[in-house]
Order: sequence, then C-alpha cells, then structure tokens
Amino acid sequence: MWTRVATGPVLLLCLLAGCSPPAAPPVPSAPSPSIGLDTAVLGTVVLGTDMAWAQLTLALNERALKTFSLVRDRAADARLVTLAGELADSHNQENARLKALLRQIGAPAENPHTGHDMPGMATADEVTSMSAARGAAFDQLFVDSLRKHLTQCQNLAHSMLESGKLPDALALATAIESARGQALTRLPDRAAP
Amino acid sequence: MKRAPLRIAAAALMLVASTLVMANPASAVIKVAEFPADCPFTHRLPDDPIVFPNLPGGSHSHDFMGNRTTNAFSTLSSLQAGTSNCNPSIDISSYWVPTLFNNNVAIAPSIATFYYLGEGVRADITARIQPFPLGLRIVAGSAAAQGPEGSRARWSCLHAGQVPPSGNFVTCPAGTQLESYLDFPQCWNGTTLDSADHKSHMAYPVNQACPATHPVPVPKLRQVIRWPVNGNPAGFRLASGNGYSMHGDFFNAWPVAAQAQRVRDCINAIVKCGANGQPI
Repeated sequence: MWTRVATGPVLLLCLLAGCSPPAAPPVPSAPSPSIGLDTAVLGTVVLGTDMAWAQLTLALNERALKTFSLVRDRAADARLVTLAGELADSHNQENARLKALLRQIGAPAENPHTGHDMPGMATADEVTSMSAARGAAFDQLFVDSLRKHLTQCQNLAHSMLESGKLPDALALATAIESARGQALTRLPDRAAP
Repeated sequence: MKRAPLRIAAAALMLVASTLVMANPASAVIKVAEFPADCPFTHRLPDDPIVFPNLPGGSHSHDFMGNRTTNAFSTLSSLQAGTSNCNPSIDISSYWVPTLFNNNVAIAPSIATFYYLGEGVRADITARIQPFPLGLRIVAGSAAAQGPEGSRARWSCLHAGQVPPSGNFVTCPAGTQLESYLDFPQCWNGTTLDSADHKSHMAYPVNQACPATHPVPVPKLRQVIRWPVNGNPAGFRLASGNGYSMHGDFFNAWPVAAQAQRVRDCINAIVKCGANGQPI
C-alpha cells in the first residue's frame, strides 16, 4: 500500500544535513569547507528519475495526442478509430496525474521536453505526413508511429519502476506500463504492402 | 698596458653572462590561466545521467568523451570506478554532446578539447578560483533552442579562421573541419551539485564577477569539438535539432588533488599549462 510522502511540494534536493521541509529557496551559504571531500550526495536531485520520467512521459503523451486527433477523419480501419479515441481519453487522464505529480515533486513549471523531438515521438515532419495521408496509407503511418510511442512509454515506465522513489510516481508508472502493453496488443498486424 | 686585455676579458665575460641570462630568464611561462584535458570520443548512447538518470533510451543520442563507462545509470561512484581516454588519463570526468549527423549518418568528433580557464572574471577573482567539487554536474547551452534565443552555440571552421563564426552550422572549406565552441557557466552556488532544472546551481559572471546568488568562482570550462565534416551544412543536424541547439554536459570526477594542483599552479597563478598540469 503506497503512503503519500507529503501534501506539499517535496524537497527535490536533499542537502548534506538531510532532507527538511522546503521553505524559501535556500540562501547559498559560504563555500563548503568539504569541497575537497567526496560530496556525492550533496544537493543531488534525489527525485531525478521520478521527475525526468514524469516530464518525458507528459511530453510523449502530448505529442501522441496530436496524432490521435487525426485518426477519425483519415483512418480506413475502424478499430483504429476506436483505439485512438480510447487512448486520447486515457492519455488526457494520465496527463492530469503527471502534472499533479510534477507539482508534488516541485519540478520547474516549464517542461524542458515539450515542443522538441524526443525518441518515441512522431516528429513534426511525420505529423505533417500523417495529416496529408488518407485510408490505408494513413493507417500504416499511424500504426508505425503509435507503436514507437507505446513501446517507448512502456520502456520508460519499466525503468522508472526499477529506479524511481516516489510512491505516487511508482503507482502511476505501474498503471502506464500496463496500459501501454495492453494497447500494443491491439495494434493491427502490418498491412499487406 | 697590461690592463687592456683584462678589461676586454671582463667585457667578454659580461657579454657571455648576459647572453646566458637572456637565454634562461627567471620566468619563461606564458601568462594565460589555462590547463586542458584532451578527451576523444568513446561511445554513443541515447542516455543522459544528468537529465534522464536511470532512464536508458530516454534521451536523444549523445556522444560521450572521457570516461568510458558513462550511461544512464552513472553516478560519481561508478565514474570513479571507470577509466578514461582523456589526456591526462587521471581526468575520469564524463563529457558529452549531442550526436552530429550528416545526411542521417552519425559522425563522431575527431578532436575534443576541454579547456579549464581563468578568464571571464577580474584578475583578483581568477586568483581565488576554486576547483570544481567532486560530483558537480553542469549543462551548458540549450538543447531546446532552435534559434538565437537561449542558444550559446558558436560554430566555426578549424584551419579556416576567415569563416565568420555563427550560431548555426557554417560552410567550411574543403580540407578543414567544422568546429564548435561552447563556454560553460563559471560561478557556482557553493551548496548543491545539481538543481531541479540542472542549470540553476550555476551562473555566468556578470560584469566580470560572480553574482551574489552564485558566489563561488570555479574554472570556466570551454568545450571545443571538431568533426571530420565540411562543405554544405544543409545535411547537418544534431540529435537535438539544428546548430543552435548545441549543448554540452560535464560530470566532474577529477581526483581532488590532481585538479587542485592544476587550479593552483595554472589558473590561480595565471600560467598556461599542458595536459600534465605543468607549464608549457
């Protein structure tokens, strides 16, 4: 059973003295006399994996949503229309949870991965090609793109489960890993050339 | 009559002595605060232990230099257990940049030099520059920049200084190499080795001094990368986008004493040193 860590933003950085509840941004003190010692844990980002996973998944989802919106008016295969509709709903719900998680973590307001191409995402050019396609040609482009998105999300969620720390993030990663795996089983087989 | 040969001999002796003094002056050093680490390309992965820790494959492609072991799971301890191809080999830090592609073919850097400099701040501040703390992470430039805003990229051509530097890729003459210069922030907040956005714990100087928010002066890392490409840059792209998105990552794992010696003898003393930390 997961327990909530805190209701307010969780301190992202644990200073050498240990984690304490965040207040105002820390005032830099005089240079630490321990500069010469191994300061490996001094102010490293404790929730780095959780934050990176949530930011990246959110960015991946937002890019995928752009492709889902193209399906209804272009697809030949009715199953894809159904799938895209369901995925759009589930991705929107996930995004709300991801944003709440990022606020909980105390991540910066701006997602550093929004708006530029990351592995697993349909590139801007690919979205343009999909927009212009119709019927079976569209289906092929969409399924290929969707497979990459689903696979990357699944891989990232799996890595998150191995290394993440925040219970709420781990719970969401569990749900997303499972959902992506399920969606992958619903992809039509590759159409005949 | 007999004094003339004596005077001639004395004059000759003084001439020889002064020639010897001129040939071996008390200080023959070059007065530039600098020491280098030459760290060639080692490996390529879609990993980033600073921005995507423990998320292998989450990043665009990076070319790694220096430490041979760097991947998504790297920590200071794991780097310290690794080896490096840097000259000097004791620098087991990890340096990485986005992969450069030419017509979708990945091109590894041919030369990668990391200069540790004392310039950029007043001389009295240079004199008290401190070594990078163990485990410090620094990100320079902006992977998201696709135009001048937010970009720190500077592209030019090795052996073709007549080509004006630009924030995006440039056309280098045949026989020369595309090169990138990138200066890292040189003022540290003194308390944390990283930050939530991986940038806020470092700052660039303002008016040749470190701001009050980031009061500790550390070396200015200048990343100079060359690639064996030239000509029409239309086919060039970085894994992060166009040339404006050039960036660099540094994960410090220098043994404390080795870096401290160089900072003291080369940067604080304003002496140009070689990779061995000795005056050139």
